[in-house]
Parts: sequence; C-alpha cells; structure tokens
Amino acid sequence: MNNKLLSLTLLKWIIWFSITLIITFNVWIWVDPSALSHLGAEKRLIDNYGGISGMVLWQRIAGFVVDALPAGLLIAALASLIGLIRQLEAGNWFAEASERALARVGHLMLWYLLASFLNDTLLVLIATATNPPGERALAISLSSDTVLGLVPALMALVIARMVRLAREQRDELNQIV
Amino acid sequence: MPITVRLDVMLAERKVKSKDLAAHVGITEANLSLLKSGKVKGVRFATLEAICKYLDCQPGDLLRYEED
Repeated sequence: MNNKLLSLTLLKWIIWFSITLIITFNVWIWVDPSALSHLGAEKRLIDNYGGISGMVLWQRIAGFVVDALPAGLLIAALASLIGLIRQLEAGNWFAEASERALARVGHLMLWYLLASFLNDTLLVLIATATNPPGERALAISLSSDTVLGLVPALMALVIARMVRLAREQRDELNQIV
Repeated sequence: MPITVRLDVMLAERKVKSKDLAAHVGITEANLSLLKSGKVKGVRFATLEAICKYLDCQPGDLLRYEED
C-alpha cells in the first residue's frame, strides 16, 4: 500500500473513531452524567440550571434528542467524508460523486452549526421547564467555535465547486486531440 | 460550428489510410475519427503539425471556415 492510500485509510479510521466517540459521549452524558463530571460543554451549561441528575425522565429524553440532532448531523457529515475518501481511493478525484460528497459535507456542516447554535437555547429551556414561573430561563449563546465551524463548512463547498470546474476543464481537454 | 474539418478529403486525395496517419501522429484511431467528423473542441498545434507533415499540406487545407 503506498503512502497516499495509507494516509486515506488512516483518515477513515480517525473518522470512524470520531463517530464512535460522538455516539458514546452523547449517550453516556444523558444516561450516566455522574461518570463524565468534568467533560461536556452541554453538561457544564446544564449544571448552571440544576444539572442533568435533577431532571425528570421527559427532560432527559428531550435533552438527549436536542443533543442528538447536532451530533447526528456531524455524524452524517463525517459519513459523507468517508464516502469522499472511498472515491479518492478509487482514483475518482474529479468525479461527480466526489463533488456531491464534498457539497453534502459542506451543507451538513452548515446545518450542524445552526443546530449547535440552537442547542444551548433549547437545553436551557428544557432544563428550566419544570421550574416555577419566573425561574425559567432562556439563553442565547454564540461561541467562537460556532463561528469557526463556518470555515470547514464553506471550505468544503468551495472545494466542491473547484472539483466541478476541474472536471469540466478535464472533459474539455479530453475533447482536444 | 462554422469551422469544418476536411481531413477525410485530404486523406482521400493523398490516398492515406486513417490507421497509418493515426500511428504516425501518435493519436488513437478513435480520436482521429472524432477529428474527421468534427466532433472535437480543438486540435493541438503538435497534432496539426504532425498531420500536415505526414500529408504534406497546410493547416488551411484541413480546416475551412463556413458561415452558418
């Protein structure tokens, strides 16, 4: 196996590991929050409003669902990245499928950013839903992570466009004898 | 397209087979066939030069501009 294929295989393993980590972490934090006392921005945020352990069952389920949405979008983006790597392994650098996979990564990352942005607001709403009136909270937060997340999302979309232009140029060159 | 390729005419005039020309120029017979039928977007100068050299003709003998 040459170095290029080896690095692509390594990337695939890193992605699979990341997907496993995301799923494990998101399930674990809602099932047994005490085990992850120092991890998780969501947990730290909810701790300010009574913590996960103080939630009733429906709040935990709702919190898990709200947390699962951005996680699911991130997993879908990573899965599309695996699809792209498979195309690259097959040597289809400028294939339409590669362009589609890249564009899908970009779009999913944008949706992920939107979901992440709404995540904190919804979590705080859920965490304080059972509080008496006057003690319920609404929080809107925009972190630098969310803004920085725009970079890979837009980069994926720009590269997808570049792949399309490169394919069109290659096709045109193929028609020159 | 207003540019028409007259390679087939030149081949007939010079009594040269497409296969021989393709081998001399270094392109496939399929590509030469596409060139003869005008179904290409362009011709490299190197290809044109090799064709002219083999058929002993000028580029103008191979290409013609005709108003649509």
